[in-house]
Amino acid sequence: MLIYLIKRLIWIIPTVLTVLLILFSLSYLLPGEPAEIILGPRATSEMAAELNSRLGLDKPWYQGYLTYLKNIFKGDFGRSIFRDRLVFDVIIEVIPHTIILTLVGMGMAIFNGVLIGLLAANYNNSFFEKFLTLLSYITASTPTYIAGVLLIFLFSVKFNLIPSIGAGDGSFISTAHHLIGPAIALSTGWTGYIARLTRSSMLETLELDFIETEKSFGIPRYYIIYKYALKKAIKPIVAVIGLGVGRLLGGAVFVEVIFNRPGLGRLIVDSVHERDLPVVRGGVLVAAILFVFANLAADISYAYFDPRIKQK
Amino acid sequence: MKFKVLFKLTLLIMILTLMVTPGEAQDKSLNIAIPGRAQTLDPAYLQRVLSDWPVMNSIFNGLVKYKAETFEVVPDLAEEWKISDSGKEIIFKLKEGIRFHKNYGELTAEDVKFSFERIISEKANSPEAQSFFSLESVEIIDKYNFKLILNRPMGRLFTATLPFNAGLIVSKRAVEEMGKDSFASNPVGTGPYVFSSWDVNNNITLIKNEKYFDNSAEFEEIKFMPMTDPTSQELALQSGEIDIGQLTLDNYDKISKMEKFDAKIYPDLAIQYIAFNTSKEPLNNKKLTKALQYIINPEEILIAAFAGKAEKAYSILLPEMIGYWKAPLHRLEDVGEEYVWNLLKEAGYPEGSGLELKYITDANEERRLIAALIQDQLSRFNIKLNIEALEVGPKIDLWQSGTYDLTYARFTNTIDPGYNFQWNLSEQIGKWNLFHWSNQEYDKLWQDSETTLSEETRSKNYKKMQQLMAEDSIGIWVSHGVKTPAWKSDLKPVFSPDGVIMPWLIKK
Repeated sequence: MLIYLIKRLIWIIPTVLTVLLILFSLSYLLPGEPAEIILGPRATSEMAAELNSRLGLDKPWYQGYLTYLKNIFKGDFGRSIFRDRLVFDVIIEVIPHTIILTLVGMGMAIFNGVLIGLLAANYNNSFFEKFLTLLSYITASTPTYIAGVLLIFLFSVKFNLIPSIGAGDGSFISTAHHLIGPAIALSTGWTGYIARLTRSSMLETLELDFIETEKSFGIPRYYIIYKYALKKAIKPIVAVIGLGVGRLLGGAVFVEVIFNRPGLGRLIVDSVHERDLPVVRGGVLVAAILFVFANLAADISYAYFDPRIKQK
Repeated sequence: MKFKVLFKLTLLIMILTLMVTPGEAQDKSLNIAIPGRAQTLDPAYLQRVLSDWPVMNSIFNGLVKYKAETFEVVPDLAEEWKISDSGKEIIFKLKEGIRFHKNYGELTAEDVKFSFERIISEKANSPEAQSFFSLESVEIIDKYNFKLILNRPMGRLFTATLPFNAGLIVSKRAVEEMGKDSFASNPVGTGPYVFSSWDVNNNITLIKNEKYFDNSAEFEEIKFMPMTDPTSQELALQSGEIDIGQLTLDNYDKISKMEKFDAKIYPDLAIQYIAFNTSKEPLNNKKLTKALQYIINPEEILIAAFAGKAEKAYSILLPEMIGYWKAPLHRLEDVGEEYVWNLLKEAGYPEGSGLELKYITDANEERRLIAALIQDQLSRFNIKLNIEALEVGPKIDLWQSGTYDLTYARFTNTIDPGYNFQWNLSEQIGKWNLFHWSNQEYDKLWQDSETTLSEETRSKNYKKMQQLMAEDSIGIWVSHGVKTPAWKSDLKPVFSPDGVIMPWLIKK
């Protein structure tokens, strides 16, 4: 297990280096003169020169890249062009909001998805199952931004139950209250997906021989399902959680913009609009690292459920 | 069975949190949506001045200010001023007894000297330095009197520099004690509202200044909430979480008719226009550009791209500004098609035959639509328009190299006509002069207006400059665009002529 873990950790290094190279080349790949695009007609030539040196454009690209790498490993992400603050500080401030949103969204998706899937498997071929299948198809195919706007329209504008903007004042109740809408919006797509996955995996498992054996021992049905079948059927779901966290991080961008929440996705979107390159680079780098670690966590948990993986 | 208990528990928690009604809807603060996150609260370092203006002017004052709902300049911190005959020295007298927020003492000439000189100092690297380009120094006479010393008279001093962000006065003691970086998020001014907090949602909260020297503020608390997505602003307005926001053009009619809300359409300060590249074949031909002015119909663009809500522009300037001159309208209905066919013939393109023009524009939905409209209008006169929709970078490259015949542009403006007219100077060819147009008289009139404080001369010069542009048929002013503020109908908000909220003047 340890060797497996180390191997996986080592793979992170080339991944992150590649991301860094792509991010660095952004300023070279963007057509046009960056200082002119970023600062517009108001820019004086001194301001443009200063910006070019901050973006590392006043040196040959390999020197610029090395300086960029050196700074990143020192934890220096540079300074935002428009905020007059360190990029690192800006990111640290918003990242907890994105992590909480993604985790709660993921939790909701797993909880609701597994529940719907189990019910559908349990009542297979009934009218109820048809209804649940329809429900999971609808949620799976509703884009996050539509779910978000619908939720705001229904629960904020019509019934005034949940707030539609911000992340609250920091207290537990307020934070939880502000999370409901965004987390539901974020979880919809993945809920349907997990429900369908759970159902098919569960149906497959219930036909296996060991279940028949357990049935013949007279073990109650719900006990078989929760105690034995679920543990086996849940493996494919665990495997997609890492993937799901990545997808949800992407979905969080829409949710954060629609619900006006602070967060990594919103930060990156705002900075792309403003062409605040240092913040875009820093934000995408952190998102990439989060994604890599989410995948790692999924692989490890998968190995935990399936001992064969550890030996490979 | 643990599963079921867990499920019930989660359900219970969800219902309980739902029963707490939204906090924002009930608090007594006035919530105003602003289009973008504030970048800094230090007036010397503002980059994107317009969205921060309502916040900055609630916290700070300048020596002079714009009178509500006009661009007329009236005294603010200054009681009176005298301009020397040469126009290079201006003596100001401050009002006495004005106090900075948070016990930072009384406003004196020292603070003014500090506020202006930190902007022009070379090591400050302030984006506002240009606003003060001819300021040499500020000389203190006594506690309330001081002298601005200019190296030449400065036209935009009173129209744009002093009443705008660059002219806001900060507390010298506060900046020195806190340091520049900390001051940027803890501003101290003399304004009607005192800075309270800037939270992780990027909301900026201000509280009432009980000791304000002018009419005191109406609200105990004002909260500025940055909301980039216009649909979110609409929804938040309807759910009661914000009191003042902007509507989208699509829903303007529906929401402005609701009893709970009032709304008004204002022109934006920007100018959107079609520019002809007059430096090369075929549009260096005045007859041809004149024909194009008749063929291209901006009214259709207004309907398609602005839902018919925007007014046609007749000048780079808004009518309230110094030197506004209404350019003549070219309407096909007025002259008849025959007239235009004749113009084309005289220009050397009988029946429009063989004329192909290259049009560059931004790669977004709205601009593509406008391009398609113009293409259709030109095709009625057998002129072929080749549209290239580009990202900003390549578009600017083509603009500057002049590799196009027509283009569509939006330039943000300021209240100073000199600033707005500078992009069409000869020296801007290859930079931001999209007409690639050069006119010696225009250049001279601009220069003369920059170095005079006489409003009369400036106004006369600016009118003449606009006539020169019109005579050469170098383009078509399409629209200033729109701002569509909406508010709860129990409020009485006050706006500038370009629709920017003036929060300190809002009454219940």
